[in-house]
Amino acid sequence: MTAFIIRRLLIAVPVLFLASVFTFFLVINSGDPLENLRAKPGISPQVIRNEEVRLGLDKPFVERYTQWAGDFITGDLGKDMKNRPVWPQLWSAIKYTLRLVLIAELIAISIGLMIGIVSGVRQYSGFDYSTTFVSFLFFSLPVFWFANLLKVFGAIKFNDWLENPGVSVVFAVVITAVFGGSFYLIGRKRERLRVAKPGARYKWSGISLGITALVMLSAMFYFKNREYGRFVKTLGSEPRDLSDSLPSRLWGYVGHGVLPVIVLFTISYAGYSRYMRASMLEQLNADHVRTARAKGISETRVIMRHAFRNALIPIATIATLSWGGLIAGAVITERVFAWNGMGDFFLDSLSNPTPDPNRLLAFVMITATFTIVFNIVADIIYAILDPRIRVS
Amino acid sequence: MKKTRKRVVLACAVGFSLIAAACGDDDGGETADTTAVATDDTTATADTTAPAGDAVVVYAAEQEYTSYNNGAADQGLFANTLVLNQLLPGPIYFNPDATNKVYEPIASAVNVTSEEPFTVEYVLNPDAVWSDGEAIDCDDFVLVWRSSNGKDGNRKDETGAEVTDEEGNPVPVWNTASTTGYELVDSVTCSEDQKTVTTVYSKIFADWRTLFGGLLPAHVVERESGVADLTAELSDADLYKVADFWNTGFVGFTPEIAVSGGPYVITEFTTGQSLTLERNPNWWGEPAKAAKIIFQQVPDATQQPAALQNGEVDVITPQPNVDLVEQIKAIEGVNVQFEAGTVFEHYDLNLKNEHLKSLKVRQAVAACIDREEIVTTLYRSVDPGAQVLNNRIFMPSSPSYKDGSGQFAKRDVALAKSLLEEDGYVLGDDGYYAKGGKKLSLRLGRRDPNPRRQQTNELASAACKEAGIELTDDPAEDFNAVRLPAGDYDIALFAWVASVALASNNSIYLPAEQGGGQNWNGYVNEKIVELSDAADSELDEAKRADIYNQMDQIIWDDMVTIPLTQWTELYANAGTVSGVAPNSFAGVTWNAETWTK
Repeated sequence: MTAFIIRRLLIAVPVLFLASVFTFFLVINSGDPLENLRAKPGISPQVIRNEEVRLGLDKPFVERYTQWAGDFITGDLGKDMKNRPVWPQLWSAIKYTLRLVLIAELIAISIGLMIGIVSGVRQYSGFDYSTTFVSFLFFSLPVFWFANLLKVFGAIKFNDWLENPGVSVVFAVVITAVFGGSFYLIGRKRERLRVAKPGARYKWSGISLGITALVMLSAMFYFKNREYGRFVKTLGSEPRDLSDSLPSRLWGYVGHGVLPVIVLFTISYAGYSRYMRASMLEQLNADHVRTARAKGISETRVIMRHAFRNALIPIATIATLSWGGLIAGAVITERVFAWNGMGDFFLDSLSNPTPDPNRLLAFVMITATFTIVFNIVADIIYAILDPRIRVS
Repeated sequence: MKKTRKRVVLACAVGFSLIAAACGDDDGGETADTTAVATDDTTATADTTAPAGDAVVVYAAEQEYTSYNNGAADQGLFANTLVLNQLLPGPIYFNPDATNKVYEPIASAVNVTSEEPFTVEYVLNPDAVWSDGEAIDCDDFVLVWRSSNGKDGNRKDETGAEVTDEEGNPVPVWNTASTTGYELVDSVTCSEDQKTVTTVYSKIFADWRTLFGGLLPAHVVERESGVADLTAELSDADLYKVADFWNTGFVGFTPEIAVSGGPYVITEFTTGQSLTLERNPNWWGEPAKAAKIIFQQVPDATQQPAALQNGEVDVITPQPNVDLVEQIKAIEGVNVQFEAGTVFEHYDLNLKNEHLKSLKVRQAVAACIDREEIVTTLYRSVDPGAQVLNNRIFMPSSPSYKDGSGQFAKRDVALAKSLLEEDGYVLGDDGYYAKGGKKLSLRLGRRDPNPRRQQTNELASAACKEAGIELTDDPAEDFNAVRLPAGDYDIALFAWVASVALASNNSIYLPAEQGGGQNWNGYVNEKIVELSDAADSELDEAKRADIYNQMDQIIWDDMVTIPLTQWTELYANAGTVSGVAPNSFAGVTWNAETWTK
């Protein structure tokens, strides 16, 4: 195992080298970083030349690259074109991205896998059809459009409503009826399939009716006259006032995070649920599952031990690889929600106003490293899930 | 109630008090309005007895603040100016209409005490202190002067030989962006009590009011560099210590370093998120109205309206375009103002071109381009008040604005044709004029991509086709950076920035060898040289403005550039906020101390 990891890490070195050479070449050949300065009057040629020297514009490619690579190896990411050190900026971007992406991905994986398993086991059921429909809908959503829609309804309109919360009697009655009615139908179906005891429909619809009615009543009377402020935010990754008490600060983080997490979750969830469903179906139709059933093993055990575990193998690859890529940030989501993560860092470095070599190189190195590391992790997880594979 | 005026600290002396050439690209934003500061009335009265409120006003900043020292060549940014407006003091402030006044909290009197040698004396307010309690006094002036006058030159080692970097280039002591004006200051002398500053110039510098705009705290530089007194004669080693700190020490935000001499002080800065200004506890003037001004970073302008509507930001100033303006206007209770800014589009005619070296051809081009149509089509869709610009030095909001366009105010195809025929051009079968077998075909150079400039060129091209002049769009990505300075164009479409420092116009219209560093079209007129010499030594502001208007008239007569219109600036705020007023010179935060809600 150790030998495997070391070998893989050694292979990573030339990959990183090539990636950095390639990026460096592209970046330093795009645009003139001093364009604006040159155009200003009263700027002496001396000042321009000094800036050229500071940014190394007067040196050939190889020399500039060696300079950068030397600094990089000694752990110095250098300074950006505005003379700010790169590492603190990158570190803050990594933190913000991880916070956003980790939460969204964890929710997406857990919900996506659960739904994938169920729709695989209950293939062609109403549940399967409806989740398939929702997955494809989410899959095809243009992120930018969806995010802006969420801002309007999830933030602005919702906050407007929160300022004077309350629900009309008609709305409350309709919602309660819808919930009660649908659980009645589900209960009836399960009774017919004999997976639920007779009378379950009354119990189910009764409970859901009660809960919905309670929520509606409290919305109508209890929550009505409370101060929420404009809780859901459309911008920024954290509350501005960090001097608040811990609960209100946490509440602030939730308010800032909820919309971008919903957007990212929506995109990732669809993929996970589809992969899981396909993988699950494949396993359920496999010989060893039939054998297991024939042996009389309980259905739960068949699904969880024999089908699910094997179905995870392809998912492990997909998840780890996409995690490796996720550190690069969700460019559009971060931009739309002014979430200063890696995606935004990357965009900013591209037009700063011209590409900023040190920032971009730092970005490429970090994301490439993460991708490589997660590739190794994928292989290791593989070995754990499938004993036939030996990592050595 | 006393009528107070707002100040503008010219914190970014380079970035923008000067004429910035070929002002970047404008991302297809839209432009112009002449109503200028009509809205100022709502804010101009400040109640001195008003109790300090606890309002928090949030401004959506597109770019992030990076440095306290905007005068360093590598640190100058408009985003910094927006923050520093409220922090760095200056003895003179400029109003949005480019008029100016002594800023009483800093200086009780500013006088030209002698014209020979030219001497300006600043009497500083005895109460003026930095937020850490140190007096704002003469050493702060000395620091600005030393860092910006260029006299310290390049670094030397102990033996007196110039220090060079590995490339063999000299290393300057101060990494200053611009020395304009300061290089003429021979001495800065302090009085006994440090509160009177006497500056003596080697010759009259009529734009002296633009100097010493953003004072940096000299005592902080002394403390951090370990040099006891930077006003004293410094050894090279000490000088380098001071300069080293000045060059790099102000990057980012450190509370002990970023002390304030204005109504606000930075209290918090989160990279990529926000910057918070709170009332300066040691501010001796009228207290700022809002308890906090927050700069919330919103890099994507298209996301600003939603944030405004959701109450997360109160003030936004995005580059306007049709969609954005509609989106903002749809917000309930929003307050939208358009301002014709200081950046203006113009056509620059290259006199080195074989056709354009003839005045009549230049006039024909000016006569056939339909400026009114360009403004209507491309600019009024955003701001219905957009107007054609008819002066290159003063913007319509300035009291000195004078329309010198004469017979070229409106499009006149017949005039264009007759001018060409007078000049010996003959209309060919292809519908275009030609002289000596050479078709009158000119390229309209511009930076690419830039949809609005492309459309401008298309309109100009269609309009001049009727007059028998062929104009073709000539886009290039490096147009502003390479081709423009090299004079490689027939007609160029780009923007200049009108400035309160009038002398900065010299670099555009004077002959190249006489200081016209940006005179790329080869324009030479002795009268311009004479007038600019006269203006440089004219201390009466009205007379000086008059000289510049004469200059503008000569440029109209010679028709070397054709002004089109100004870029529109958009100032929008939630109706709950009061006190926000446009200022194209210093940015919206120029009067942030009067914002409240």
